Amino acid sequence: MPQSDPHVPPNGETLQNAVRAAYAGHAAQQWQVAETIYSEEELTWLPRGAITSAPGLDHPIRAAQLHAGETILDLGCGGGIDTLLAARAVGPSGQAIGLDMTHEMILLAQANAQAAGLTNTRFLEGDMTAIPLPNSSVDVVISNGVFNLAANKDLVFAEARRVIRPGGHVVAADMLLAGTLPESVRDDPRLWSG
Amino acid sequence: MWLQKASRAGWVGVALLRRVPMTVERLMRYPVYREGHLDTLLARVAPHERDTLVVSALITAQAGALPAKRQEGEMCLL
Repeated sequence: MPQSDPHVPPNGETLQNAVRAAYAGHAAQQWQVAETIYSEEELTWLPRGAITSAPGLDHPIRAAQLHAGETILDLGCGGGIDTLLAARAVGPSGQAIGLDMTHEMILLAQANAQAAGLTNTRFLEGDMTAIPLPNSSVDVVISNGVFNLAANKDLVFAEARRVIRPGGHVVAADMLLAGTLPESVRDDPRLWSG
Repeated sequence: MWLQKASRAGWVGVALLRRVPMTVERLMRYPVYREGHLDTLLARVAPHERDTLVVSALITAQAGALPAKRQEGEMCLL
């Protein structure tokens, strides 16, 4: 469950393991979220596997105004729906990199990119609090429903800032609490992995 | 709070582009809530707050000075 206050669960590693386990299971499930976010044209172009594995909240690609030749980093790419759309937007002279900590999601994203016929995608298995990319190596960072999964959001924002080039930007869609919850609910790792 | 965290991390021009309430119907599309955890989430929330407790937000921020073309685009979005 997302946090909109400074509360940090007592054990971030426990939380991370719970999220990873939940999403490993979700990789095999079919979700019905993408139909409420993406256009008919996009849903027609995207491989079915990318659509049914998409758990996002909004459409960061539409807001990001990507340009040909840019390098895009999709933090927490999941099955790769936004990575694929980014790769299409930047064209063969650009690159879309998907990062996810769940091995099953990386495999799914790679399969979806192949099904889409894209040759300018790259998928990395890793943690968004330690992004396996050099400083100032991407033009735009996108994220869709992922920041809320991090116990240490300060570190995620700092890492995103580290890898982006001067003049670049970030567009992130996410889920936030508009109110407060009791700690018994906030500290339940299962509720962080929507 | 997130906007403050992003600002502290060195992002500038942090802006909220869109904010949409996550209704119970919309939350139910996500697996963790379909699996019964929505009841846990909403158990101590007043009925009139259930459709407004969670929101989806789209935020943007820039790293340093922007090229003119990007600045123009961001202003349109905002």
